[in-house]
Amino acid sequence: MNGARSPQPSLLPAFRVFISCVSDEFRAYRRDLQNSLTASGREIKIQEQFTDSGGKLLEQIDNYISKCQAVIHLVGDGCGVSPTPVEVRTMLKAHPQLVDDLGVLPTSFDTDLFRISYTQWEAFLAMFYRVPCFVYLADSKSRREDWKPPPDQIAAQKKHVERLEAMGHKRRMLPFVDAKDVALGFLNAILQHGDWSADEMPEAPQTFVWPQAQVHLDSHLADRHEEFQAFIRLVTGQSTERIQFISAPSDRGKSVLLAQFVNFARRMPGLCCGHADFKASPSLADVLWDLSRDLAPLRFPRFKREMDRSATDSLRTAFLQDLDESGKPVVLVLDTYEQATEEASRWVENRLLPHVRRYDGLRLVLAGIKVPALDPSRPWSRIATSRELPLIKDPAHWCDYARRVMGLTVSGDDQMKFDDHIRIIVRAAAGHPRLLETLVANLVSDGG
Amino acid sequence: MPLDFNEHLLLVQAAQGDPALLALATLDIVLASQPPELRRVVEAAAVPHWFDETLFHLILDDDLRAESGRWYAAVIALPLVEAIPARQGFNIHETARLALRRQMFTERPERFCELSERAAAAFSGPAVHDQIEHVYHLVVAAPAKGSFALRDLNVRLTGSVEASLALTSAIEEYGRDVVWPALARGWAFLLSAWNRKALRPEQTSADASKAFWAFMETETDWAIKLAQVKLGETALTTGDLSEAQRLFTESLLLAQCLTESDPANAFWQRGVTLSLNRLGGLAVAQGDLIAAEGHFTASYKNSERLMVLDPANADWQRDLAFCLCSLGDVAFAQRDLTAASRYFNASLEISERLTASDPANADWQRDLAGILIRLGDLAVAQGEGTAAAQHFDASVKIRERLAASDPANAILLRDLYVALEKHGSLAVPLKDMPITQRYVAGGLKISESLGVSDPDNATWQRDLWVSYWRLANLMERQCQPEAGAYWGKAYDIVAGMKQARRKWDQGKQQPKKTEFSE
Repeated sequence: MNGARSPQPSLLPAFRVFISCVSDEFRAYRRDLQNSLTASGREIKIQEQFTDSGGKLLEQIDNYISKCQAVIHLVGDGCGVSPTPVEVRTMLKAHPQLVDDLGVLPTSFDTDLFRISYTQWEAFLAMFYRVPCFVYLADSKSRREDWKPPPDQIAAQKKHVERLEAMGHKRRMLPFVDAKDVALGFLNAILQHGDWSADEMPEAPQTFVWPQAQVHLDSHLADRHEEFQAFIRLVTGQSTERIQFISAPSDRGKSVLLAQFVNFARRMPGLCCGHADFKASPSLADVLWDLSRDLAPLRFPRFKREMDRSATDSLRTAFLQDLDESGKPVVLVLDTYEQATEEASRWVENRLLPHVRRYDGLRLVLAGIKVPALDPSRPWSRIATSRELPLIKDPAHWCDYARRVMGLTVSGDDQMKFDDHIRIIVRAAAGHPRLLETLVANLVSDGG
Repeated sequence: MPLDFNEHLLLVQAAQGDPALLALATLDIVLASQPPELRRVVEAAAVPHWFDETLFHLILDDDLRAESGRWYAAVIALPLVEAIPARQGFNIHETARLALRRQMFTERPERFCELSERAAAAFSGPAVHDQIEHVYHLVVAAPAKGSFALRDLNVRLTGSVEASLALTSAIEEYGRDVVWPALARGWAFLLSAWNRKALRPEQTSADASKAFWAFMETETDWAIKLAQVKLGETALTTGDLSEAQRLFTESLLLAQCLTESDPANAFWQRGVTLSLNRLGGLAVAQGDLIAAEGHFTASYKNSERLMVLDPANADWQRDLAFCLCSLGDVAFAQRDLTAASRYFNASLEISERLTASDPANADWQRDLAGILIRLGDLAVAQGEGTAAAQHFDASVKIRERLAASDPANAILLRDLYVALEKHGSLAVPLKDMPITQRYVAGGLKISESLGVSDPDNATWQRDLWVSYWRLANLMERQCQPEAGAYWGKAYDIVAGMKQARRKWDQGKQQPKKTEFSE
């Protein structure tokens, strides 16, 4: 207020809540709940707000829930109306992985899939998008005595509850007495658990199948064999280390080496590789966006939702949660760490590195002029190694480079003369890789 | 014309192992076999942090622009050029880029400024990184104009820590070398002092001081004033109140001189307001409420004048609300509850107007929540418990939302703790105690999480003690058996704090013992 920097973002992200229930059964509760939860900046929607648009109700619900911060799902005796098979097929076409992802739904060939009601889909869509879904079950006090659904709806709703329980949602299914009870419980959950969205995450798999290197590969660089082999061990699960720091002053070929790592990792079946760069101090959101784009086969539902909201911290947490849930081995390659803003480097050191330690499916390579120091008091240090790229002062490595990488073919006196030249320029250039690559390339193009 | 082996060797040997010179030697060797125009092309590409085809076209020399596509293809094929995925463009490798920029600026400043001017014009987009790049070039091409642009951009970026730090990092280059214009150097340090104060507090004073001396070289009064204010704030943080007083007074005098020389300039006028506010805050810290009242009153009058000039300006309105709130604090401290009520309500009115105009503005919401807490305190002092509860409750709601928007932000969490604690501290009849207990329990959750995150933070430990104590007290009055456990926890915290204090005292005495033994 006094003109000093404020500690929070200047814009408050919107908080969207969807109240999901069968209107005929819980209309009054829903209205009361809507009134109780309404507050400045909080957007509360219900199914009826979409029905006027005609024909695409499921698509609209899908679209809204994908951007929600929470869904409140009231479960009673009835399940409500079901969408048309065309609507369901359209949605499944948009999300081909939905049935597999949730694991409890009938297959797309099973007609039971088309019996799932709009209200039931609302809960499933919330889970698909990893939106925290608060399920409240009507108990003897809240159940409507004056309203009875047809028997087939009662059976369908029973099945729905079984599916929710099978998805591990039992711990989140609470009985409710009235709308105020739900509102208080919900607000309490928001207030008391900053990381409550983490509850939506299924247990991460404990072991990962790391791919095996199919063929022997080496770097196309001078004297970087050791670093390259260490990387291969890292991404094939043959090493106890999970984090590799690569540091060196400018012009030692860090970025070129990392580009080769990435090239190699992308050719390994079953391994996902994300590559990003802190060059020119991009925002952390931009870096994470680049990584999520690189890791396109993986889903990032929470991350994409938080991108819409511009909520800084939630965005970063969402990225890690989505990553954990992918179930696939992932390697992240981050370059030019010295140009990361302090905000970004704090996140890397306080959140990302501890996360790699906890989560077995993730490996990290971080390179820069400066990298985090290995510190025994920080647990992630135990699974990290730090290498400094040396200057390449041994002329033999450059002779090898000229032949192996640049394709030089000379012999006899010419070879001796070439090796002599190499010795002279290596000494003059003090082993600086970038300069030597240029000089060797020129020598080779001059025919040695 | 391509160089032969011996010429290569001479170039490399001349660099004598210096990385910047080696980078330039590499460039010379690479360019030797290329068309001579490519050197000018590389110079143009080396000025910005990055370029894409459009930016490259705009920065390129006029006579080369007709074939910019060809030159672009040639430059990105050079071994010194790298891709920059975050910007979907390319950049000259940093060592070579910085060496080339420095060489151009020292040997051919006109050429460098011409390219920088073009680069500043090219980066005209609304994206934050474009705005940062724009001022990065402008502050060396036209330092005076660039300084204003830099200052304004830094203000605009307030609220986005990352963007402010990105701006600081971009400008940092000018602080590393005395060859750059003094204004640019001064800004490199001042931005660091402003934007990195939370991250590197130990560096703030040195940065502010370097900024001050760099600005003194240019005799740019308004920039000197900004550095002085920062130095004063640093002195205040370290407890050097007399130095803070001197620096704030000097910055006030400077701001007043600037205002006299250009009465229509709102920025100078605001400088007067901010300096007066700082002097007022300092007087409060010194317990001199009369002096504080004088400073805040003068600040209020100044803000009012600004408001008259531009009633729609939200910054002036916010300044006015702050002055009123500060005057309310002083009146409250003097036990003049009528005056305090008048000031707080006037401040509330402005804050409510601002938040209504943009409910998503977190700064304004935070201001509003702060005034509601003061009104709650005032109501308590006036014996109006119901009104106090309403004010605290309204503040809780706002702070709950702010905290939920950024759950890792300790400042926002503590704000919420304070509001919950205030509500929980209200005296209520026995029947309402369960509700009060819920507020206290909410506060306890926060103080526990903050206490765990940094056990050495004395304020948070104290908060934790207050929460345990309050909860134990409430439970005991309701005859709940858990009260004993909470009394025990409160005791443990106090005992821990006392022990920490003892250790700290011993630590402070340690050097004396060493001195003595030596």
